Amino acid sequence: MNSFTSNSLSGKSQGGMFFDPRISRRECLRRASNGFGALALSALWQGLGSGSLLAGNFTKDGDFPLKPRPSHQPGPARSVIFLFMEGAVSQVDSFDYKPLLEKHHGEDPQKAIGRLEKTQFEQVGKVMKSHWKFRQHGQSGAWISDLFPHVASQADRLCILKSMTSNFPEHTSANYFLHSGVGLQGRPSIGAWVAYGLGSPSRDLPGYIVLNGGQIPSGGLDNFGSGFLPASFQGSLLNAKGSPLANVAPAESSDGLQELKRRLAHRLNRLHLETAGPVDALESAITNFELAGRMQTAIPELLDVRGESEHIKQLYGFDAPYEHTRTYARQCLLARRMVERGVRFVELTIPMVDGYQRWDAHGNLAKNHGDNARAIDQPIAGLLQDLDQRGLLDETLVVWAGEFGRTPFAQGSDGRDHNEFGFTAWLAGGGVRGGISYGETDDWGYRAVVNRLEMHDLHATILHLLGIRHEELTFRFGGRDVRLTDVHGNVVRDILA
Amino acid sequence: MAVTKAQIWSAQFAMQVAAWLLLFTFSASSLADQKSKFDIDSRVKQNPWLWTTPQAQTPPKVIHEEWAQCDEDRFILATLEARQLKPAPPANPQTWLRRVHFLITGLPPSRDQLLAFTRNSGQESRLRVVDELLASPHYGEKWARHWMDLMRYAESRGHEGDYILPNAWQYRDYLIRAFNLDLPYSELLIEHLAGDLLEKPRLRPGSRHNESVLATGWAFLGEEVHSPVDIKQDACDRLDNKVDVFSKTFMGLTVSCARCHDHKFDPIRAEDYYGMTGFLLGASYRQARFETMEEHRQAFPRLQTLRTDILDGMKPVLSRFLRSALSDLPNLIAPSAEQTSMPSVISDSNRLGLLRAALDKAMKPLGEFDARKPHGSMLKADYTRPGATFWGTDGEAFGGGPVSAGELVLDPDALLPIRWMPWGAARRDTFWHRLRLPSGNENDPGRLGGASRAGQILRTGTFTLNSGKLHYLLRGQARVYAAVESHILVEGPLHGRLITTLGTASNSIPQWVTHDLSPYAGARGHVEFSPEGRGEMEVLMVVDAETAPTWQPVEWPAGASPASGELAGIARSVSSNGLALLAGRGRDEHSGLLEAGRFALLFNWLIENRNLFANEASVQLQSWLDQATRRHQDLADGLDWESQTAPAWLEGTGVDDHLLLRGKPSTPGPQTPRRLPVAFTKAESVRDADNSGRLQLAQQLVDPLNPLTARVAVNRIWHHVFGRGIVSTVDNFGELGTRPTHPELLDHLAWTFIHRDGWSMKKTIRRLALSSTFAMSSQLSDPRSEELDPENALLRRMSVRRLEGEAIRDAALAVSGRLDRTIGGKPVMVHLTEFVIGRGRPEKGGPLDGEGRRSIYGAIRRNFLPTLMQTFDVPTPFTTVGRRNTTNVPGQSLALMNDPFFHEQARKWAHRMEQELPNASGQERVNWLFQTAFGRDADVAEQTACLETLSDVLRLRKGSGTPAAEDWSELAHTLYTANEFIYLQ
Repeated sequence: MNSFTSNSLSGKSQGGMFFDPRISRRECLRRASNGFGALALSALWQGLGSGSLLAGNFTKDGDFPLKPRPSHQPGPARSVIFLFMEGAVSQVDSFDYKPLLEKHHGEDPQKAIGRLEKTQFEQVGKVMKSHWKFRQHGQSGAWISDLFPHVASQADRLCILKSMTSNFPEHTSANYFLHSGVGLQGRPSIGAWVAYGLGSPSRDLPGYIVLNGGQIPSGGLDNFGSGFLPASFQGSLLNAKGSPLANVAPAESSDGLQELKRRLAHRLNRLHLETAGPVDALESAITNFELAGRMQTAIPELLDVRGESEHIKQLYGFDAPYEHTRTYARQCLLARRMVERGVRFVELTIPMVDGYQRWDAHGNLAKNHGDNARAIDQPIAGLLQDLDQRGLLDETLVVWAGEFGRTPFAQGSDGRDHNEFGFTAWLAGGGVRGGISYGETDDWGYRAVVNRLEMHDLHATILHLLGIRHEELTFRFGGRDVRLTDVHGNVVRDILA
Repeated sequence: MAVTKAQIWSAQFAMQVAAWLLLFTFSASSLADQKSKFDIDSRVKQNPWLWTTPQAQTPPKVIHEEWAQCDEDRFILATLEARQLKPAPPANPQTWLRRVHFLITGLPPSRDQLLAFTRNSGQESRLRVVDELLASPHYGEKWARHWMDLMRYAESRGHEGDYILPNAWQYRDYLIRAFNLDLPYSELLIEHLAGDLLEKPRLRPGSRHNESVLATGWAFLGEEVHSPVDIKQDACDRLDNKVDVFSKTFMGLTVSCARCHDHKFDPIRAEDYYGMTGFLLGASYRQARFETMEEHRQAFPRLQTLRTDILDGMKPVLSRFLRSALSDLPNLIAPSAEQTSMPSVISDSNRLGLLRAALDKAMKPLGEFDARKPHGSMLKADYTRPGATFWGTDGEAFGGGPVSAGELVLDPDALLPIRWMPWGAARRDTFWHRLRLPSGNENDPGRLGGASRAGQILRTGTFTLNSGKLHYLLRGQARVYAAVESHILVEGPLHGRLITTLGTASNSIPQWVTHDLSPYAGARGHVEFSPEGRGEMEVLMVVDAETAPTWQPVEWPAGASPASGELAGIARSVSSNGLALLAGRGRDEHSGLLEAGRFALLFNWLIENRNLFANEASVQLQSWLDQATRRHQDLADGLDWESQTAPAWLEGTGVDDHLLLRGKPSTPGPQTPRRLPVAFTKAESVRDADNSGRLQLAQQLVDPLNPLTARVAVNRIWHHVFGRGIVSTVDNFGELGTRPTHPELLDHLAWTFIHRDGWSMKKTIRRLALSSTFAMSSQLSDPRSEELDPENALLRRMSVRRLEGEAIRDAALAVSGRLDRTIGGKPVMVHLTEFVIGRGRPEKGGPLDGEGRRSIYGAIRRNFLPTLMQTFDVPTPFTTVGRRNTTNVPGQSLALMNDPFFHEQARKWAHRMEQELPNASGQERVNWLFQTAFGRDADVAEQTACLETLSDVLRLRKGSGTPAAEDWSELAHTLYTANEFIYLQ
C-alpha cells in the first residue's frame, strides 16, 4: 500500500463511522478527470485547506512522483546548486575580515577575547591572524582574502552571510543539521524536500543529484537521504569516477538485446494488466520502466562534456595544473548542465584534497585551506560567470556553505578548532541581492552578534527563493506534520533582490 | 467481569483527572502558563474509544451468511452490505496460494507446492497449506523482519564512524525463534521490557541459554555518537529515540512529541514523557553472556553449598592450625639461637609490614565510631556493610552480595585460598575467572572493548555527580567504567577518561584511588567495576568529594620495621588474645564477629605463611585446601564457560527523571515519577527505588484492561495481512493518526487475541489467512464501488501490492534455486560496490548474492545499507516504521534491469531449468519458468511472446539451432523485470 495515500489533502474534517472520509488524492484526481477538470486539479495543487501539502498530493501511484508542481508563490529561483564545504572553512581567513586579530596575534585568547566556549578538542592556542591578506573587491568593496582570488573577482554577485550559526560543534550532527534541519540521522535532506515540494521539470533525471567530488561527508550518504519522504526524492549520487550511477548502464552485451528484453517485458506487463485490471501501481510501474530506459541514455548524455567549447572548459579550470581543480571544474560544469536539464537541486561534495581532512584544519591551516581553496576557487568563479552569461544565474540559486566555522584562536599552534557560534556562508543568483553582506560577528569573528542567522533561516530563505512557504512544506510522519524548518526559520527578507 | 472493571475504570477517570488538575495547580509556576491550556479530560473525550478497554463484540448479522468463514468476515461483510456493496469474487486458487505464501513466509510457493495445490484447492487443502506455512521456520523470518522495522534494527551505530553494535544479530535470531515458537505477544512484550528481570527466564528449547534476556537488546539498536561535545544533550537524544520506539511500538502513541511541551493533540503531557524516560534510565548497557548466565546462576548456590560443606569439615583443622601457629608466632619473631627461620620472615619487608599491620589491628578494639569514615551524600556506594547499598551485578563473579568483615571466605583460585575478610567489601570471586568468550564474538568498539567485562560487572546505583571527583576504596586491579549519561561509545578525542584501570597491588590493603570526572559534575551516571585478569579484586566504597577520604579499614603502621624484640612482645600479647578468641570463651555472637574481624589480617597472615609453621596441623590444612581445589575444579568442569554475548539491559536503580523545560537539559524542572501517561487512568506510578520498574511497566501494558496494547498488536497483523491497518497509521492511534475503519472489528480482534487466543499471533494470522476476505480477488469492482470507496478502505476486494524489498530478492533466489534456507547466524556483509562508500566502510564486503541467504541475514550497517533493499523501501533504521513507504520509481526498474544480482540469478535459474527439464519443448520450458516465477501457467499469448523473443535473441547473437542456456537466461531475466514478479494480486 502506498503510505502517502493517507497523507490526504489536509483538513481536520472527520465523520462517518467507518472510514476516514478525508478526501484522498486519488479520489480528487478521479473527480478531476471526471469533469471538474483542470481548474479543480490546479486548486488541488495549491494545497487545499490548511496548507498541509504543497506536494503530498501527487500520490496517485500512476503519477510520476517528480512531476513538476507549482510553488506556493512565484519564486525567482528554479534550481539550487549547493556547494557544500565540508569540514568547515575558516571565516576569518576568507570572508570575515577582522583586523583586530592581527593586532592581538599571539596573545592569550582568554585575555584578549575573554570567555571562550568549549571546543571539540580543547587545545586552545593563541589568537591567530589570517594566513591570507584581505583586500576589497568589486564595486561593493567586499573584503575577501587572497584565499579565494577567483571567487573574489565575482564579489559583486555574492550575498555574503557573515552571521551564520549552527547548533552542533561536531561534523556529523552539524552535517545532518545543515542538510535536514535536525542533528540526527534519517531525516530528509533539503534537496529531498525541494524535490518533494516542486517535483522536477526533467523527465529523464532525478530531482536531487549529488555530484560526488570524492569526499563523502561525515554521516555518510544519509546527508542526502529522503528520510521518511518517499525514496524517489533522495539524492542520487553521481560518482566522479567509474560508473556514475548504480545500475544506469545496461548490463546486456548489446543495446539490441536489452531492447528485445524490454519489449518482451512490456508485452508481458500489458498482458498482465489485462488480467489484473487497470491498477494504478501496475500502470505506474510500466511508466517507470520506460523512464528507466530513458535514463540509461540521459545520464551518459549529461556527463558527456565533449560538446562544450574549450574556452568554457578553461573558464572552469579544466586545464588547471592542480588535479583537484580539474575534478571540481568538471563537477561545476556538470552542475550547470543539470540545471539546464531541469534538475531541481544539485549538490557538490568537495574533492579528496587531503585525505579525510576536508576543510577540517585542526592543524596546518595554511596548507589545508590553501589546497582546498585551490581546488574549488576557479571552478566556482567559472560556474558563476557561465551561469550568468547563459542567463541562468537569475533562476539558479548558488549556495556556498559548510556545517560551521572555525575559531579565531589557534588550536595548538597552527590549526583552528570548530566554531558553531559565528561563521560565513554566501549565496549568489536565484533572486538574492549581489554585492552585499548580511550580519556580523563580533570584532574577533567569533560569535555572531548582528542579525544572527540560524540554519533554519538559511533553509527558510532557500525555500522562499524557490517560491515555497517553509511553514507549509510538510509531510505527515510519526503523528506530526513535519517541516524542514521544524518550528523555526525566518526568511531573510533583507537580502532578497 | 472485565466489562465491569472497565466501567469502573472509566468512572474513576474523572476523579483522577480532577485530582491531577488539583496537583498541577500547585506545581512550578514556570509551568503554569503552559499547563493551564492543557485539558486532559477533553483530550481524552475527543476519542473516548481509544481509552476504553476493548469489549467482547457480537459479530453483526449479515445477509449472505454463507460468504463468511469467520467472525472477522461478518464484520467486513456487514459494513459492505450496509452500503449496498458487494465483496469481490474469490481470487483464483493460484493467486491465493502465492498470496498466502508471501504473507506467511515471504517466499513464493515452489512448483511442487503449486501443482499439489492446483489438484486440490478446497478449504481443507487451504487449511493444510496455512498450517504448514505457519509451522515452517520461514514464518519466523518473515514476521521477525516486520518487528525489526519497529525496533529500528541495525548492526552498527551510524554517525561518523559507523561503529559496530556488537552481536546485535543475536537479537534478530531471538525474534525469529520467538515468532516460530509463537511466543504469546504478551510475553514478547514482557521480555522486551524486562526479559533480564524475570525470576524464571525462558530458556531456548534444548539448551540452557537464556532467551528472555536477548529481547532487551532492542534498547541499544539505535544510533550512538562518539565524542559528543554535549554529553547530556546526546543522552537526551538517545533517550528520546528509545521512548519514541517504545511508545509507538507498544502503545501506538507518539509520546516523544511531548519531550519539549505537552502533546499538541493527544492527552499526553510533558510529564508523561519524562514519566516514561525514568523506566529506561534505571538500567544500563551490557553484553550479556546469554548462553551461560542461567547455568551459572543455578551453579552459584551449588558453589555456596560446596564451600559450606568444605568449610564445615575444615574448621577444626583450621582452628588447630591457627592455635599452633599463634603459639609459635612469638618464638618465630624472637628466635632463640637454634631457630633459623627468622631471616626468611624479616627478609621480606612487605611480609613483615603486613604482619605488623595485622598485629596492630588485632591489638585495637573494634567497633567504635570512626568519624573519618565517609558517610552522607558523598557516599555513593558502601560495600563495607551488607545491605548498605544497592547491589547490582552482571553474573555471579561478585557473589550474592558484599562479604562482611570477619567472614571466612573459601576461594581456592585466589592467592589466599582461605581467608578471613578483614573488612567488608564487594569481592570478586576468582572461581569465575574461567569465563571466556568464543572466537568471533564481537567486542565493543572503543575503550569499552578490549578487556572482557561480560559476566563480571559490579555496578553502583545511578547517582548525580556532585564534585565529579570520584574516589574508590579498592584492593586489586579494577577496570572502571563511569557510565556518565549512559555514554557507551567511548572513542575519539573526548570522554576517554570515563574508562580507566585503577587499583592496588594484590597483596596490599585497600587504598583510595581517584577517578577525576570533574568535567562531568552535575551529570547523571553510575560506576561499573570489573576485574582485570584473574586476580582478586575488592571494592569497598565509592565517594564523590573534592578530596579523597583518609579513612581506611586498616592502617598501615607508621615508621620503619620494628625491632624483632618489640614485635615479639606485641605478638605475645596478641597471641594469647587470639588463642582466647579461638577457644571461644565468654563472647556473644556479635562481639565474636567483631573480634574475628580484628584478627582477620593476622589469621590471613598465618595462613599465607603456613609453611613457616611446619607441623602436623599445617600439613592437614594443606591437604584440606588441596581437596577444596579439586572439588572446585570438579564443579567447574561440569559447567560451560564459553558463551556468546548479546546487547542487553543490566538492571540498576530507580530513576525518576526531571522534566526538562522545552526539552533542554540545561533547564531541568520538577521530578516526575515513573508511570504510563495519565490518560491510562488505571496505570499507577512505580515508586521502587531499588529497581527500574520495567517489570511493573510491562505488567501494566499486558493487563487485559489496557486499552491499547492488544489493539495495536492485532492492527499490525491486520496491516500485514490486508495491506492496510484498521487504523491505517499503525504507529499512531492518536489524534493525528487515522480513525479505525472498523472499530468494532478491531475490538473484536483485540478481545479475541487476549481472551480466546492467549495472545497468539499465529492463531490470529491463521484465521485471517483462511478468511473469505483474504481470499477475494484484487480485481477492480464496478465504478460505483470504486467511487464510493476509492482507497478500498472497506475491503471490498484485496488490493494489488508490491512485494517488500526482502521478498523480491528472496524470491529471485528461491526461483533460481540458489536460496540457502539456513535459519539464523551471523550477518552476511553487504556487497561493496562503488556506490557503497563513506567513512567507516567495512573492509571486506560480502558476495554479490549474499551467500544465497535470505535478505534478513544481510548485514545492516547504518551508513552502508544494502542498496537494493533501499531501492525497494526497506526503511532507514532510525525509528519505528510500522508501515513502510511503497514507492514506485524508475530506480526500481533500473535495479531489476541492470543490477548484476538479477543477471547472476537469471543464469542460475536457466541452468536449473536445463537440469530439471533437459529434453522439454520450448513451451514446456516457458511454462516451467512461469510456474516457478509467478506461480501459474503461461497462457498462449505469453508463450508466443516469450518464444518469439527467444528466437530474436538467438538471431541477434547469431546463434543457430535451439536456444542455449545463455539465451534462456535472458528470458529468465526478463521475467524478473516483469511487474508480476514483484506485484501480488
